[in-house]
Amino acid sequence: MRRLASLLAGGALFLLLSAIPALADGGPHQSGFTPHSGDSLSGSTGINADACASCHRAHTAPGEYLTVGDPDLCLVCHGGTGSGATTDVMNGVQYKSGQSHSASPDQSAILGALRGGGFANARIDTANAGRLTYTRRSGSAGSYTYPTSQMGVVPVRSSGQAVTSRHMDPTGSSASIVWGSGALGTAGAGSSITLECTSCHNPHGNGQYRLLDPKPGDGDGPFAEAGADALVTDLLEPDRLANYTVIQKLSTTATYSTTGTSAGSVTAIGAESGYLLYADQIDGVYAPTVGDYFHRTVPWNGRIDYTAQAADPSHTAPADFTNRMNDAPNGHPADTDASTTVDNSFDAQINAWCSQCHTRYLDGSSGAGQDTTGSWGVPSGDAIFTYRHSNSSNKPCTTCHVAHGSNAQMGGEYSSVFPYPDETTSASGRLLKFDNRGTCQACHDPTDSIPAGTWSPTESPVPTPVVP
Amino acid sequence: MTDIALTPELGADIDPEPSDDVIQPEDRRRRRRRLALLLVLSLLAIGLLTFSGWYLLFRKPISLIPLPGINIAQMPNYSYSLYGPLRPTGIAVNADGSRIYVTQTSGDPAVFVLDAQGQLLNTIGTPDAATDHVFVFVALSPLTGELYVSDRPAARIHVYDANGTLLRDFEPPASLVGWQPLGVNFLADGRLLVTDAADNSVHEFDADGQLLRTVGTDGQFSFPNSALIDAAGRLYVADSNNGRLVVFGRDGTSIGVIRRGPAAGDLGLPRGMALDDEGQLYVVDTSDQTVKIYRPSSDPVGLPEFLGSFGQAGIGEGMFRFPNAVTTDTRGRVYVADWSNDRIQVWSF
Repeated sequence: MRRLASLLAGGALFLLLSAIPALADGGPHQSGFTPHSGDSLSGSTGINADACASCHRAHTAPGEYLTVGDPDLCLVCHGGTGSGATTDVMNGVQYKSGQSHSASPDQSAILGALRGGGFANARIDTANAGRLTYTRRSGSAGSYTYPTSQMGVVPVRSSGQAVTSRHMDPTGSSASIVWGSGALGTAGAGSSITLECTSCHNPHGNGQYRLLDPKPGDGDGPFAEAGADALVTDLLEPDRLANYTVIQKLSTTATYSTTGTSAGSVTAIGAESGYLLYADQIDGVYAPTVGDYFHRTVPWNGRIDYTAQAADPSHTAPADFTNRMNDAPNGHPADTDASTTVDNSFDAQINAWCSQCHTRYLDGSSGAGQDTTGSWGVPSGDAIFTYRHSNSSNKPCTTCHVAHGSNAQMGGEYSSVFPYPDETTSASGRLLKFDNRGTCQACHDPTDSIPAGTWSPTESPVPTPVVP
Repeated sequence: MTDIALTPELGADIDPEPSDDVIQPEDRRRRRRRLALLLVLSLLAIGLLTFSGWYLLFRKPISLIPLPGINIAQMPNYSYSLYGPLRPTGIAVNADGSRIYVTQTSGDPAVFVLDAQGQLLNTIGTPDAATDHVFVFVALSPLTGELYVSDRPAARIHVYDANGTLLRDFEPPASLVGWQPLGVNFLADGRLLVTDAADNSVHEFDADGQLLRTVGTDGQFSFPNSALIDAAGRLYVADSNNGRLVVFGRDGTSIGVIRRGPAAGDLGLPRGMALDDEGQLYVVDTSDQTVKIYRPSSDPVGLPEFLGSFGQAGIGEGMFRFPNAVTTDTRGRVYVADWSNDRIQVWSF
């Protein structure tokens, strides 16, 4: 009996001791042990003081609205997880939302590519950009001239490509130089800051396109703040809430009237009513990947019905009814407010928005003989930003640059070592939309010899524009 | 022949037996003590043998031995972390914890296949380069062992074998073409639950892939990230962007919600969920940096009871930065995809 009992006890003890290592549940990566401490760990739930602290700081917040400015706070929904938003700023895409499955013609979940690109990948088809040469009318009646101009076109890739430049480090850990910050004459190329999502966007919402902060970086530039209830609606269909998209239509059957009845002006691409494309208009032959990154117009509230605009007594009809007169991104209608002399046009506002940080790119100087608007021929007086590309005449910053990240390849002999304003060099894509410096060629023909109506290199998707 | 006779003297030399009147009570007590000790030892041995056999059968830690009539709300303790996948959002593990599948959403999209010690066994890449892919959540079929991987931008659920060989894509019915699958979860009988970001709904498929029902098409959900059905047939939906857990009864009627709020058990941004083999419900609260544990109600139309939570915000051991998914094995281990800390945390009871 005793022997049996001892055997049972010993056997049980052996089995128990054998099980202990497994019960410890350790592993090769175990480096410590954090015991659960009861209520102190389980008491933080929902929107209480502790939850606030995950997003906000009362006295030391680096971002507006007292946010901690941690990009992960935004990226947990808008990042590459794709699990909490329609916009994925890491991969530079926008998902369809609220759709009926059967109404999806291409069976894709992707609506299109973000105009701003992405911080990890972007769909800018920089390698297949093209341009169209056309004649345009210039001057006044009786003394018209017909110079040649070029229209750049940048298609959209069907899949993402790793970016070569980005506006912000999504890990939030590295600072970058704000090229051209400060007044003209400021020493150095610009100050160094760590950008965060909240540097440009308001996470609580403000009724503005993409939640753009009316005054990025707390600057005091000329960017006009919109009212809290500002709505950007489609003037053509005022009752419809514009579903701002990222794609603009480039009809594959577009015809370009380079010598048409309007004295050589180029007509709109496709039907004028479809010149701009809203998200819910993407159907039929217009696949989400059909678009134009280089297009000068903007996707919100295109004032393309000039007649209707001119007849609208609530707006002062400007003389220049061009697409630059789209509503501003801060919700202001695209008229000139005579009472404040603020130019509310899209071009003026987006330039003002960007130049609140990149001040010296556009800042005017009142010095004798110095440029006051940005010029290739008149010096600004600044030692670094001396001559500057003009942003007038439908050339806002966003014509050439994206806001988040670009996959433009800078492998050329000169482009790969193109210097920054501080003389350092890099093959960075500089947030541009063309490989190498195809950006220049999209608008400029240094030979001035390309006949109007010529696609370069061809009308089909082609490599980066080449100099003929 | 010589007879050797036992002399009476020999017998006379032996001490006579003690008298019962003198020693019997002490002996009796000794015997009783011995018997009592043997009884205790036997009971202990039987208990240890029972536990050891139970452990060897189910590989459960001692803390999870079910005690009849006693419900002790236990929280797991941090054990260790596994590294490799970047920005992991989804995690699945086989029953004994010997194979762990983790999605990577930073860098090249992939599913990392790890062993229990975190050694990389395989990396499952994207099925093609023609379009964008993001592997969000993963689930293991309990019937076939196949791995289901949701790929939102590709509008697909890819099906791999246990070694990572692509077998096929899960084919939704024509009415769901163009869906945006996020959460994938299997039930023990092979039913599959898929959350759909396209129209913010939840789809239930049978083990053969036939659509059984769709819940939430009236816009009541916002980016549901996970759905589960418990043993009583109640459907739990992590209604992520609405910050709540929505519970439906077996018949599909709404039972109620665990709401967004400050009270204990309230939620902030619920995403991944898991049911362990004890029936406990684990809900990752991404913005609260915790995993919350609930016990399904014994009332068929009752809401689950909040038991507690584990984890806190931070980068240290046992701390989370935006956890996104949770799963359990049958050995009492809880695996959490600690998204922003780029690791898998293993907690155990």
